[in-house]
Amino acid sequence: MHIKEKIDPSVMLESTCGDHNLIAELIDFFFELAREEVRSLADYIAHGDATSVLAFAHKLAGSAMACGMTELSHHLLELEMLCKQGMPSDVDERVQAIAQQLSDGREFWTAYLNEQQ
Amino acid sequence: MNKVMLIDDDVFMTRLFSTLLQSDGFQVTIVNKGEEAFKQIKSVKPDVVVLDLHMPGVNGVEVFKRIRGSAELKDLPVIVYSNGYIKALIDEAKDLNPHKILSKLHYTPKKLINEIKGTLASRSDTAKGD
Repeated sequence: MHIKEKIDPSVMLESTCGDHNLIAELIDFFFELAREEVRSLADYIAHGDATSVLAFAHKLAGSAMACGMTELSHHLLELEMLCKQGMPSDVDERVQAIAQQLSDGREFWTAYLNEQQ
Repeated sequence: MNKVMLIDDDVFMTRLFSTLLQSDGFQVTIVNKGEEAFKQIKSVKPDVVVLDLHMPGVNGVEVFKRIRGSAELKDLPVIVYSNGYIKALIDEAKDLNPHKILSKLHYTPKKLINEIKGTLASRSDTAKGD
């Protein structure tokens, strides 16, 4: 699937009444937070701490949805659900997919905001 | 100026909503920890509270119960804005007379802000009618 099909900028556009400076500020803030959260993730996984992985996924899912990153949000919600039963056996693949979605999201928003300038 | 309190451990969501609400002329207070929520509500006396349910430590339902248990705050409008799949929390919240229960996954920020405005408008109409 192409990045543009995974991300819907209309959510942010609607929320901010099309204010691109505000969108840029909020998107930067989202990726800054996501980077901090992802940094702790390897430790949680290494320690088999499913509760912290669940909290990570929960926290980021709502924010990702508000940023129009629907597919990322769905990946996170799935991970959250699975972590309720303990650490999923395929957690590494799932985290890799989430990291890829974040990277795609960053790429999408950078290109989108550059186009608007 | 209408006062809105946002109670959510998600710092991105609270920043997003406070930015949007402030640009609409609301006075916004952010609380990112359930433990601090009740004290802040009593001190700030908001006109409406937007409450997340799933928070570490003191969760939203516990905050909500304290609000409804207080003679001073029992009629305070509370909009629950949470991930709707945690059924036990949602069921408990329903019993506490929320103004609305909205899902973060289906309700965009713009729609939530419209709900906040609607809540405040109906509150103001009720006050005028009294």
